[in-house]
Amino acid sequence: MELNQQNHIDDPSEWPEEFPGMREIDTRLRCPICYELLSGSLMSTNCGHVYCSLCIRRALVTRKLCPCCFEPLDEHQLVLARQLDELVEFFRTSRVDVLNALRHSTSSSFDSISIEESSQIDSTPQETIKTGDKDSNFPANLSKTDRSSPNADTDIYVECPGCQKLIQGSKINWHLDNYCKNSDFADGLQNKKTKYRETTKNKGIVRDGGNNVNLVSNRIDNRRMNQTKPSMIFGATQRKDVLLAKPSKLVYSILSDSKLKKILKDLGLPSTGTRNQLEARHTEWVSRYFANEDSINPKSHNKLLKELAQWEANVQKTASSGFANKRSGVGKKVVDVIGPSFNSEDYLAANADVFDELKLKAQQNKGKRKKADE
Amino acid sequence: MYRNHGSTALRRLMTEYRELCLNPPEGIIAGPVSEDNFFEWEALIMGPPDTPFEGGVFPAIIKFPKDYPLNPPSMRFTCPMFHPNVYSNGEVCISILHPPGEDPNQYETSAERWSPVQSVEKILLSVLSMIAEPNDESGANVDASKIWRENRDEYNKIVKQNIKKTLGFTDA
Ligand SMILES: [Zn+2]
Ligand SMILES: [Zn+2]
Ligand SMILES: [Zn+2]
Repeated sequence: MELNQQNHIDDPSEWPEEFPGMREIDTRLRCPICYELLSGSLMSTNCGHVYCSLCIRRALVTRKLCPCCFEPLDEHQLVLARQLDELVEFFRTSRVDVLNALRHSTSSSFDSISIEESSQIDSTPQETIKTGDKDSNFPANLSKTDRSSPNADTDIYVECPGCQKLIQGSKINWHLDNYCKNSDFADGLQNKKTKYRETTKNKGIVRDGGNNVNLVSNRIDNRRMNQTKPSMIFGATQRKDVLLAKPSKLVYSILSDSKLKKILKDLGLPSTGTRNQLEARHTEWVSRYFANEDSINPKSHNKLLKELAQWEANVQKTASSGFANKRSGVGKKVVDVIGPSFNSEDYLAANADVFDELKLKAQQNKGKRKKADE
Repeated sequence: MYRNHGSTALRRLMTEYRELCLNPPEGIIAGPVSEDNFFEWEALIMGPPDTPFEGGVFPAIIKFPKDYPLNPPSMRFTCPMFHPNVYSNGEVCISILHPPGEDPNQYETSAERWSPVQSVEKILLSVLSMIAEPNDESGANVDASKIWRENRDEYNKIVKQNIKKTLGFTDA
Protein backbone atom coordinates (compact mmCIF):
# COMPACT_ATOMS: atom_id res chain seq x y z
CA MET A 1 0.00 0.00 0.00
CA GLU A 2 1.99 2.95 -1.18
CA LEU A 3 -0.95 4.77 -2.60
CA ASN A 4 -1.45 7.30 0.12
CA GLN A 5 2.21 7.73 0.52
CA GLN A 6 2.58 8.67 -3.11
CA ASN A 7 -0.43 10.90 -3.08
CA HIS A 8 0.94 13.17 -0.47
CA ILE A 9 3.55 15.48 -1.83
CA ASP A 10 4.84 18.02 0.59
CA ASP A 11 6.36 21.28 -0.49
CA PRO A 12 7.46 24.56 1.05
CA SER A 13 4.16 26.25 0.20
CA GLU A 14 2.59 24.28 3.06
CA TRP A 15 4.13 26.73 5.50
CA PRO A 16 1.79 29.59 6.37
CA GLU A 17 2.74 32.88 4.75
CA GLU A 18 3.34 34.25 8.22
CA PHE A 19 6.49 32.11 8.36
CA PRO A 20 8.49 33.02 5.27
CA GLY A 21 11.66 31.86 7.00
CA MET A 22 10.28 28.34 7.31
CA ARG A 23 9.47 28.31 3.59
CA GLU A 24 13.03 29.33 2.84
CA ILE A 25 14.49 26.65 5.10
CA ASP A 26 12.15 24.06 3.61
CA THR A 27 13.17 25.10 0.10
CA ARG A 28 16.87 24.96 0.87
CA LEU A 29 16.69 21.49 2.35
CA ARG A 30 15.23 20.18 -0.92
CA CYS A 31 16.92 18.60 -3.89
CA PRO A 32 16.67 20.76 -7.02
CA ILE A 33 16.08 17.67 -9.13
CA CYS A 34 13.22 15.89 -7.37
CA TYR A 35 11.95 18.83 -5.26
CA GLU A 36 11.86 16.58 -2.22
CA LEU A 37 13.77 16.80 1.03
CA LEU A 38 17.36 15.76 0.42
CA SER A 39 18.13 12.10 0.83
CA GLY A 40 21.73 10.96 1.05
CA SER A 41 22.99 14.43 0.18
CA LEU A 42 25.95 14.56 -2.14
CA MET A 43 27.82 17.78 -2.75
CA SER A 44 29.94 18.57 -5.75
CA THR A 45 33.44 19.46 -4.59
CA ASN A 46 33.75 21.35 -7.83
CA CYS A 47 30.96 23.86 -7.43
CA GLY A 48 29.28 23.14 -4.09
CA HIS A 49 25.86 22.18 -5.46
CA VAL A 50 23.97 19.56 -3.49
CA TYR A 51 21.56 16.82 -4.65
CA CYS A 52 20.07 13.55 -3.42
CA SER A 53 22.48 10.73 -4.05
CA LEU A 54 20.12 8.81 -6.33
CA CYS A 55 19.03 11.93 -8.23
CA ILE A 56 22.54 13.10 -9.07
CA ARG A 57 23.77 9.59 -9.83
CA ARG A 58 20.95 9.11 -12.31
CA ALA A 59 21.50 12.57 -13.78
CA LEU A 60 25.19 11.83 -14.29
CA VAL A 61 24.31 8.66 -16.19
CA THR A 62 22.52 10.93 -18.65
CA ARG A 63 25.04 13.79 -18.77
CA LYS A 64 28.25 14.37 -16.86
CA LEU A 65 27.45 17.97 -15.91
CA CYS A 66 26.33 19.62 -12.73
CA PRO A 67 22.60 20.22 -13.39
CA CYS A 68 22.71 23.60 -11.64
CA CYS A 69 25.76 25.20 -13.20
CA PHE A 70 26.68 22.94 -16.17
CA GLU A 71 30.21 22.50 -14.83
CA PRO A 72 31.67 19.14 -15.80
CA LEU A 73 30.97 16.72 -12.97
CA ASP A 74 31.94 13.14 -12.31
CA GLU A 75 30.81 10.88 -9.50
CA HIS A 76 34.21 10.85 -7.87
CA GLN A 77 33.86 14.60 -7.33
CA LEU A 78 30.85 14.08 -5.07
CA VAL A 79 31.18 13.97 -1.31
CA LEU A 80 28.65 13.08 1.35
CA ALA A 81 27.18 16.07 3.15
CA ARG A 82 26.38 14.04 6.24
CA GLN A 83 25.60 16.91 8.53
CA LEU A 84 23.06 18.16 6.05
CA ASP A 85 21.42 14.74 6.03
CA GLU A 86 21.11 14.82 9.78
CA LEU A 87 19.65 18.27 9.63
CA VAL A 88 17.14 17.11 7.02
CA GLU A 89 16.15 14.14 9.14
CA PHE A 90 15.43 16.29 12.16
CA PHE A 91 13.60 18.76 9.97
CA ARG A 92 11.58 16.00 8.34
CA THR A 93 10.45 14.53 11.60
CA SER A 94 9.64 17.89 13.14
CA ARG A 95 7.95 19.19 10.06
CA VAL A 96 4.67 17.33 10.46
CA ASP A 97 4.44 18.22 14.12
CA VAL A 98 5.14 21.87 13.61
CA LEU A 99 2.80 22.18 10.63
CA ASN A 100 0.03 20.47 12.56
CA ALA A 101 0.60 22.76 15.47
CA LEU A 102 0.43 25.78 13.18
CA ARG A 103 -2.67 24.53 11.42
CA HIS A 104 -4.46 24.03 14.67
CA SER A 105 -3.92 27.54 15.77
CA THR A 106 -6.36 29.69 13.86
CA SER A 107 -4.67 32.09 11.51
CA SER A 108 -5.82 35.06 13.55
CA SER A 109 -3.97 33.77 16.57
CA PHE A 110 -0.62 33.31 14.89
CA ASP A 111 0.62 36.56 16.39
CA SER A 112 -0.27 35.48 19.86
CA ILE A 113 1.71 32.25 19.86
CA SER A 114 4.46 32.62 22.34
CA ILE A 115 7.07 30.30 23.65
CA GLU A 116 5.38 30.24 27.05
CA GLU A 117 2.07 29.21 25.58
CA SER A 118 3.45 26.53 23.38
CA SER A 119 5.40 24.98 26.20
CA GLN A 120 2.24 24.39 28.13
CA ILE A 121 -0.20 21.60 27.67
CA ASP A 122 -3.00 22.50 25.32
CA SER A 123 -6.33 23.55 26.64
CA THR A 124 -8.26 22.43 23.58
CA PRO A 125 -10.14 19.29 24.57
CA GLN A 126 -9.19 17.08 21.63
CA GLU A 127 -5.57 17.89 22.07
CA THR A 128 -5.07 17.03 25.69
CA ILE A 129 -3.10 13.98 26.59
CA LYS A 130 -5.36 11.08 27.33
CA THR A 131 -3.43 9.23 29.95
CA GLY A 132 -3.17 12.07 32.36
CA ASP A 133 0.49 12.54 31.76
CA LYS A 134 1.24 15.69 33.68
CA ASP A 135 4.96 15.73 33.29
CA SER A 136 5.89 19.34 32.84
CA ASN A 137 8.89 18.33 30.77
CA PHE A 138 6.50 17.06 28.17
CA PRO A 139 6.15 19.70 25.50
CA ALA A 140 2.76 20.60 24.16
CA ASN A 141 3.71 20.34 20.54
CA LEU A 142 4.54 16.69 21.02
CA SER A 143 1.18 16.12 22.61
CA LYS A 144 -0.49 17.41 19.48
CA THR A 145 0.60 14.40 17.53
CA ASP A 146 -0.86 12.19 20.20
CA ARG A 147 -4.44 12.87 19.33
CA SER A 148 -6.23 9.60 18.84
CA SER A 149 -8.52 11.02 16.16
CA PRO A 150 -6.21 12.61 13.66
CA ASN A 151 -7.50 15.24 11.36
CA ALA A 152 -8.66 13.56 8.17
CA ASP A 153 -7.32 16.09 5.74
CA THR A 154 -3.87 16.42 7.19
CA ASP A 155 -3.32 12.80 8.07
CA ILE A 156 -1.75 10.65 5.42
CA TYR A 157 -0.18 7.25 5.58
CA VAL A 158 3.51 6.96 5.09
CA GLU A 159 5.68 3.94 4.87
CA CYS A 160 7.95 3.70 7.86
CA PRO A 161 11.54 3.86 6.64
CA GLY A 162 12.51 1.54 9.46
CA CYS A 163 10.03 -1.31 9.38
CA GLN A 164 8.16 -0.56 6.13
CA LYS A 165 4.83 -0.70 7.93
CA LEU A 166 2.23 1.80 6.83
CA ILE A 167 1.79 4.36 9.58
CA GLN A 168 -0.40 7.42 9.81
CA GLY A 169 1.64 10.52 9.08
CA SER A 170 0.73 12.16 12.34
CA LYS A 171 2.01 9.12 14.19
CA ILE A 172 5.12 8.33 12.22
CA ASN A 173 7.46 10.37 14.36
CA TRP A 174 6.11 8.83 17.46
CA HIS A 175 6.46 5.41 15.88
CA LEU A 176 10.04 6.13 14.91
CA ASP A 177 10.80 7.60 18.29
CA ASN A 178 9.80 4.25 19.66
CA TYR A 179 12.06 2.32 17.35
CA CYS A 180 9.20 0.75 15.45
CA LYS A 181 8.16 -1.05 18.60
CA ASN A 182 4.64 0.26 18.53
CA SER A 183 2.26 0.72 15.69
CA ASP A 184 -0.61 1.46 17.99
CA PHE A 185 -0.85 4.61 19.95
CA ALA A 186 -2.53 3.53 23.13
CA ASP A 187 0.47 1.98 24.83
CA GLY A 188 3.15 4.34 23.70
CA LEU A 189 3.11 7.38 25.86
CA GLN A 190 5.46 5.99 28.41
CA ASN A 191 8.03 5.23 25.74
CA LYS A 192 7.64 8.62 24.23
CA LYS A 193 8.33 10.27 27.49
CA THR A 194 11.42 8.17 27.84
CA LYS A 195 12.64 9.20 24.45
CA TYR A 196 12.00 12.82 25.19
CA ARG A 197 14.04 12.75 28.37
CA GLU A 198 16.77 10.97 26.60
CA THR A 199 17.06 13.50 23.82
CA THR A 200 16.81 16.52 26.05
CA LYS A 201 19.68 15.26 28.09
CA ASN A 202 21.51 14.53 24.91
CA LYS A 203 22.69 11.15 26.13
CA GLY A 204 22.29 7.69 24.79
CA ILE A 205 21.44 6.36 28.21
CA VAL A 206 17.85 5.93 29.14
CA ARG A 207 17.11 6.94 32.68
CA ASP A 208 13.70 5.38 33.01
CA GLY A 209 14.08 1.80 34.06
CA GLY A 210 11.16 -0.53 34.38
CA ASN A 211 9.44 -2.24 31.55
CA ASN A 212 11.56 -0.94 28.73
CA VAL A 213 14.48 -3.28 29.04
CA ASN A 214 14.26 -4.74 25.56
CA LEU A 215 13.81 -1.39 24.00
CA VAL A 216 16.84 -0.05 25.77
CA SER A 217 19.14 -2.85 24.84
CA ASN A 218 18.06 -2.59 21.22
CA ARG A 219 18.92 1.03 21.26
CA ILE A 220 22.30 0.52 22.75
CA ASP A 221 23.02 -2.17 20.19
CA ASN A 222 22.08 0.16 17.42
CA ARG A 223 24.27 2.89 18.74
CA ARG A 224 27.23 0.63 19.02
CA MET A 225 26.80 -0.75 15.54
CA ASN A 226 26.25 2.56 13.87
CA GLN A 227 28.53 4.99 15.53
CA THR A 228 29.08 6.97 12.40
CA LYS A 229 25.38 7.26 11.76
CA PRO A 230 23.78 9.03 14.67
CA SER A 231 20.48 9.29 12.91
CA MET A 232 20.13 5.55 12.72
CA ILE A 233 17.71 6.12 15.53
CA PHE A 234 15.23 6.80 12.77
CA GLY A 235 15.41 3.47 11.15
CA ALA A 236 16.76 1.11 13.72
CA THR A 237 15.22 -2.29 13.34
CA GLN A 238 16.73 -5.69 13.42
CA ARG A 239 16.78 -7.11 9.92
CA LYS A 240 17.77 -10.38 8.41
CA ASP A 241 19.53 -9.09 5.33
CA VAL A 242 20.98 -10.61 2.29
CA LEU A 243 24.19 -8.76 1.72
CA LEU A 244 24.92 -8.25 -1.94
CA ALA A 245 28.30 -7.47 -3.39
CA LYS A 246 29.20 -3.95 -4.34
CA PRO A 247 28.53 -3.43 -8.05
CA SER A 248 30.84 -1.42 -10.23
CA LYS A 249 30.25 0.65 -13.32
CA LEU A 250 30.71 -1.16 -16.58
CA VAL A 251 31.58 -0.24 -20.10
CA TYR A 252 28.80 -2.28 -21.67
CA SER A 253 30.10 -2.09 -25.22
CA ILE A 254 33.06 -4.35 -24.41
CA LEU A 255 30.97 -6.98 -22.64
CA SER A 256 29.41 -9.99 -24.29
CA ASP A 257 25.87 -10.96 -23.38
CA SER A 258 27.03 -13.97 -21.44
CA LYS A 259 29.64 -11.98 -19.52
CA LEU A 260 27.05 -9.35 -18.61
CA LYS A 261 24.62 -12.03 -17.51
CA LYS A 262 27.25 -13.58 -15.31
CA ILE A 263 28.01 -10.23 -13.72
CA LEU A 264 24.33 -9.68 -12.98
CA LYS A 265 24.02 -13.17 -11.54
CA ASP A 266 27.05 -12.63 -9.32
CA LEU A 267 25.52 -9.39 -8.08
CA GLY A 268 22.35 -11.27 -7.10
CA LEU A 269 20.27 -9.74 -9.86
CA PRO A 270 18.07 -11.46 -12.45
CA SER A 271 19.97 -12.23 -15.63
CA THR A 272 17.07 -12.59 -18.04
CA GLY A 273 15.77 -10.15 -20.60
CA THR A 274 16.96 -8.32 -23.67
CA ARG A 275 20.36 -6.74 -23.88
CA ASN A 276 18.83 -3.30 -23.24
CA GLN A 277 17.02 -4.58 -20.19
CA LEU A 278 20.18 -6.13 -18.81
CA GLU A 279 22.14 -2.92 -19.22
CA ALA A 280 19.34 -0.74 -17.85
CA ARG A 281 18.95 -3.07 -14.88
CA HIS A 282 22.64 -2.91 -14.12
CA THR A 283 22.87 0.87 -14.52
CA GLU A 284 19.88 1.48 -12.29
CA TRP A 285 21.15 -1.00 -9.73
CA VAL A 286 24.52 0.74 -9.51
CA SER A 287 22.77 4.08 -8.90
CA ARG A 288 20.40 2.62 -6.33
CA TYR A 289 23.06 0.57 -4.58
CA PHE A 290 25.39 3.50 -4.00
CA ALA A 291 22.57 5.91 -3.22
CA ASN A 292 21.52 3.46 -0.54
CA GLU A 293 25.04 3.43 0.83
CA ASP A 294 24.88 7.21 1.00
CA SER A 295 21.57 7.17 2.82
CA ILE A 296 21.35 8.00 6.47
CA ASN A 297 18.82 5.16 6.74
CA PRO A 298 20.07 2.47 4.40
CA LYS A 299 17.50 -0.08 3.34
CA SER A 300 18.06 -3.79 3.40
CA HIS A 301 19.31 -5.26 0.16
CA ASN A 302 16.13 -7.30 0.05
CA LYS A 303 14.09 -4.16 0.01
CA LEU A 304 16.41 -2.62 -2.53
CA LEU A 305 15.97 -5.61 -4.82
CA LYS A 306 12.22 -5.39 -4.50
CA GLU A 307 12.31 -1.75 -5.48
CA LEU A 308 14.48 -2.50 -8.47
CA ALA A 309 12.00 -5.14 -9.58
CA GLN A 310 9.16 -2.70 -9.17
CA TRP A 311 11.03 -0.07 -11.14
CA GLU A 312 11.69 -2.53 -13.91
CA ALA A 313 8.07 -3.67 -14.05
CA ASN A 314 7.08 -0.05 -14.52
CA VAL A 315 9.66 0.50 -17.21
CA GLN A 316 8.39 -2.49 -19.15
CA LYS A 317 4.83 -1.37 -18.76
CA THR A 318 5.81 1.95 -20.29
CA ALA A 319 7.75 0.40 -23.11
CA SER A 320 4.85 -1.84 -24.07
CA SER A 321 2.40 1.03 -24.02
CA GLY A 322 4.63 2.74 -26.56
CA PHE A 323 5.13 5.83 -24.46
CA ALA A 324 8.87 6.14 -24.49
CA ASN A 325 11.06 9.13 -24.81
CA LYS A 326 11.85 9.63 -28.45
CA ARG A 327 14.54 12.20 -27.91
CA SER A 328 17.28 10.47 -26.07
CA GLY A 329 18.87 7.09 -26.37
CA VAL A 330 19.71 7.12 -22.71
CA GLY A 331 16.25 8.20 -21.77
CA LYS A 332 14.84 5.08 -23.30
CA LYS A 333 16.77 2.97 -20.86
CA VAL A 334 16.43 5.03 -17.77
CA VAL A 335 12.71 5.56 -18.04
CA ASP A 336 11.08 6.31 -14.79
CA VAL A 337 7.41 5.76 -14.52
CA ILE A 338 4.42 5.82 -12.29
CA GLY A 339 3.75 2.85 -10.09
CA PRO A 340 0.73 0.82 -11.18
CA SER A 341 -1.03 1.60 -7.95
CA PHE A 342 -0.77 5.31 -8.40
CA ASN A 343 -3.95 7.29 -8.14
CA SER A 344 -3.81 10.97 -8.86
CA GLU A 345 -7.48 11.64 -8.30
CA ASP A 346 -7.09 13.20 -4.88
CA TYR A 347 -4.50 15.55 -6.12
CA LEU A 348 -6.47 16.53 -9.18
CA ALA A 349 -9.68 16.90 -7.27
CA ALA A 350 -7.90 19.31 -4.99
CA ASN A 351 -6.60 21.34 -7.91
CA ALA A 352 -9.18 20.92 -10.64
CA ASP A 353 -11.00 24.08 -9.64
CA VAL A 354 -7.88 26.15 -9.95
CA PHE A 355 -7.20 25.00 -13.44
CA ASP A 356 -10.80 25.35 -14.57
CA GLU A 357 -10.90 28.82 -13.16
CA LEU A 358 -7.72 29.81 -14.96
CA LYS A 359 -9.05 28.41 -18.21
CA LEU A 360 -12.26 30.33 -17.78
CA LYS A 361 -10.32 33.49 -17.15
CA ALA A 362 -8.41 32.94 -20.36
CA GLN A 363 -11.60 32.36 -22.28
CA GLN A 364 -13.07 35.53 -20.85
CA ASN A 365 -9.97 37.42 -21.88
CA LYS A 366 -10.36 35.92 -25.31
CA GLY A 367 -13.96 37.09 -25.41
CA LYS A 368 -13.07 40.57 -24.29
CA ARG A 369 -10.41 40.82 -26.90
CA LYS A 370 -12.82 39.61 -29.54
CA LYS A 371 -15.26 42.36 -28.63
CA ALA A 372 -12.56 44.95 -28.67
CA ASP A 373 -11.52 43.87 -32.14
CA GLU A 374 -15.10 44.16 -33.39
CA MET B 1 12.69 7.40 3.03
CA TYR B 2 9.08 8.32 2.64
CA ARG B 3 9.17 8.06 -1.06
CA ASN B 4 9.33 5.66 -3.87
CA HIS B 5 11.86 6.66 -6.43
CA GLY B 6 9.88 4.85 -9.09
CA SER B 7 7.58 7.84 -9.30
CA THR B 8 10.12 10.65 -9.38
CA ALA B 9 8.81 12.10 -12.63
CA LEU B 10 5.20 12.05 -11.60
CA ARG B 11 5.82 13.50 -8.17
CA ARG B 12 7.84 16.29 -9.65
CA LEU B 13 5.21 17.10 -12.24
CA MET B 14 2.57 17.23 -9.53
CA THR B 15 4.69 19.54 -7.42
CA GLU B 16 5.31 21.78 -10.39
CA TYR B 17 1.62 21.84 -11.23
CA ARG B 18 0.71 22.77 -7.70
CA GLU B 19 3.28 25.55 -7.66
CA LEU B 20 2.04 26.86 -11.00
CA CYS B 21 -1.51 26.92 -9.65
CA LEU B 22 -0.50 28.68 -6.45
CA ASN B 23 1.82 31.15 -8.13
CA PRO B 24 0.87 31.41 -11.78
CA PRO B 25 3.29 33.56 -13.76
CA GLU B 26 1.73 36.53 -15.49
CA GLY B 27 0.17 35.60 -18.81
CA ILE B 28 0.60 31.84 -18.52
CA ILE B 29 -1.72 29.00 -17.62
CA ALA B 30 -0.63 25.39 -17.66
CA GLY B 31 -1.71 22.02 -16.36
CA PRO B 32 -2.32 18.38 -17.28
CA VAL B 33 -4.78 17.79 -20.12
CA SER B 34 -6.50 14.94 -18.35
CA GLU B 35 -6.51 13.23 -15.01
CA ASP B 36 -5.18 10.02 -16.46
CA ASN B 37 -2.02 11.42 -17.86
CA PHE B 38 0.20 13.81 -16.03
CA PHE B 39 2.76 13.54 -18.80
CA GLU B 40 0.81 15.69 -21.24
CA TRP B 41 0.02 19.27 -20.37
CA GLU B 42 -1.89 22.02 -22.02
CA ALA B 43 -0.60 25.56 -21.80
CA LEU B 44 -2.24 28.84 -22.72
CA ILE B 45 0.08 31.74 -23.34
CA MET B 46 -1.20 35.28 -23.61
CA GLY B 47 0.52 37.35 -26.25
CA PRO B 48 2.94 39.75 -24.54
CA PRO B 49 1.90 43.41 -24.58
CA ASP B 50 3.60 45.77 -27.03
CA THR B 51 4.25 42.95 -29.48
CA PRO B 52 2.23 41.94 -32.54
CA PHE B 53 1.11 38.96 -30.46
CA GLU B 54 -0.68 41.20 -27.96
CA GLY B 55 -4.29 40.21 -27.54
CA GLY B 56 -3.75 36.67 -28.73
CA VAL B 57 -4.07 33.50 -26.70
CA PHE B 58 -1.79 30.71 -27.86
CA PRO B 59 -2.57 27.15 -26.85
CA ALA B 60 0.21 24.60 -26.77
CA ILE B 61 0.76 20.98 -25.77
CA ILE B 62 3.72 20.01 -23.62
CA LYS B 63 4.76 16.36 -23.59
CA PHE B 64 7.05 15.01 -20.87
CA PRO B 65 9.34 12.01 -21.18
CA LYS B 66 8.96 9.36 -18.51
CA ASP B 67 12.42 10.14 -17.23
CA TYR B 68 11.56 13.80 -16.73
CA PRO B 69 13.34 15.88 -15.45
CA LEU B 70 16.47 14.09 -16.67
CA ASN B 71 15.32 14.87 -20.18
CA PRO B 72 13.28 17.86 -21.32
CA PRO B 73 9.68 17.93 -22.48
CA SER B 74 8.72 18.96 -25.99
CA MET B 75 6.34 21.80 -26.68
CA ARG B 76 4.10 22.33 -29.68
CA PHE B 77 1.68 25.13 -30.39
CA THR B 78 -1.70 23.84 -31.48
CA CYS B 79 -2.63 27.09 -33.19
CA PRO B 80 -1.14 28.78 -36.27
CA MET B 81 2.08 30.36 -35.06
CA PHE B 82 4.15 32.44 -37.42
CA HIS B 83 7.41 32.87 -35.58
CA PRO B 84 11.12 32.42 -36.44
CA ASN B 85 11.62 29.93 -33.60
CA VAL B 86 8.52 27.81 -34.15
CA TYR B 87 8.45 25.08 -36.79
CA SER B 88 5.51 25.09 -39.17
CA ASN B 89 4.08 22.09 -37.29
CA GLY B 90 4.01 24.25 -34.16
CA GLU B 91 7.02 22.70 -32.44
CA VAL B 92 8.94 25.21 -30.34
CA CYS B 93 12.69 25.36 -30.84
CA ILE B 94 14.47 27.17 -28.03
CA SER B 95 17.63 26.40 -26.17
CA ILE B 96 16.01 25.52 -22.84
CA LEU B 97 14.25 22.59 -24.53
CA HIS B 98 17.59 21.12 -25.53
CA PRO B 99 20.16 19.61 -23.19
CA PRO B 100 23.72 20.77 -23.77
CA GLY B 101 25.12 19.18 -26.88
CA GLU B 102 21.77 18.05 -28.22
CA ASP B 103 20.76 21.16 -30.07
CA PRO B 104 19.72 20.63 -33.68
CA ASN B 105 20.73 24.17 -34.56
CA GLN B 106 23.95 24.37 -32.56
CA TYR B 107 23.43 28.02 -31.87
CA GLU B 108 24.20 30.04 -28.79
CA THR B 109 26.19 27.41 -26.97
CA SER B 110 26.25 29.49 -23.83
CA ALA B 111 22.50 29.98 -23.73
CA GLU B 112 20.24 28.48 -21.12
CA ARG B 113 19.98 24.75 -21.70
CA TRP B 114 17.87 21.98 -20.36
CA SER B 115 18.98 20.34 -17.13
CA PRO B 116 17.03 18.53 -14.43
CA VAL B 117 16.87 21.70 -12.37
CA GLN B 118 14.95 23.57 -15.07
CA SER B 119 11.17 23.52 -14.83
CA VAL B 120 7.94 23.93 -16.74
CA GLU B 121 7.67 27.44 -15.43
CA LYS B 122 11.11 28.35 -16.70
CA ILE B 123 10.28 26.88 -20.09
CA LEU B 124 7.06 28.84 -20.33
CA LEU B 125 8.78 32.05 -19.31
CA SER B 126 11.45 31.43 -21.94
CA VAL B 127 8.75 30.85 -24.54
CA LEU B 128 7.05 34.05 -23.51
CA SER B 129 10.23 36.02 -24.00
CA MET B 130 10.92 34.14 -27.23
CA ILE B 131 7.53 35.30 -28.53
CA ALA B 132 8.40 38.87 -27.67
CA GLU B 133 11.95 38.68 -28.98
CA PRO B 134 12.60 36.05 -31.64
CA ASN B 135 16.06 34.54 -31.76
CA ASP B 136 17.30 35.36 -35.19
CA GLU B 137 20.03 32.73 -35.16
CA SER B 138 17.73 29.77 -34.99
CA GLY B 139 15.85 29.22 -38.17
CA ALA B 140 13.01 26.91 -37.19
CA ASN B 141 10.75 28.72 -39.63
CA VAL B 142 12.89 30.16 -42.42
CA ASP B 143 10.04 32.16 -43.98
CA ALA B 144 9.14 33.74 -40.68
CA SER B 145 12.81 34.53 -39.99
CA LYS B 146 13.20 36.19 -43.34
CA ILE B 147 10.02 38.24 -43.20
CA TRP B 148 10.68 39.19 -39.58
CA ARG B 149 14.09 40.49 -40.58
CA GLU B 150 13.23 42.14 -43.88
CA ASN B 151 9.62 43.25 -43.67
CA ARG B 152 8.47 43.77 -40.11
CA ASP B 153 5.11 45.23 -41.16
CA GLU B 154 4.30 42.16 -43.17
CA TYR B 155 5.37 39.93 -40.27
CA ASN B 156 3.13 41.82 -37.86
CA LYS B 157 0.24 41.53 -40.30
CA ILE B 158 0.57 37.75 -40.62
CA VAL B 159 0.81 37.40 -36.86
CA LYS B 160 -2.38 39.45 -36.40
CA GLN B 161 -4.19 37.42 -39.02
CA ASN B 162 -3.22 34.23 -37.24
CA ILE B 163 -4.52 35.59 -33.97
CA LYS B 164 -7.87 36.31 -35.56
CA LYS B 165 -7.94 32.79 -37.00
CA THR B 166 -7.22 31.30 -33.59
CA LEU B 167 -9.91 33.40 -31.97
CA GLY B 168 -12.47 32.13 -34.44
CA PHE B 169 -12.68 34.81 -37.10
CA THR B 170 -13.04 33.61 -40.65
CA ASP B 171 -12.04 36.75 -42.48
CA ALA B 172 -8.34 35.94 -42.29
ZN1 LIG C 1 16.47 14.42 -5.23
ZN1 LIG D 1 27.23 23.05 -9.84
ZN1 LIG E 1 8.69 1.36 11.71
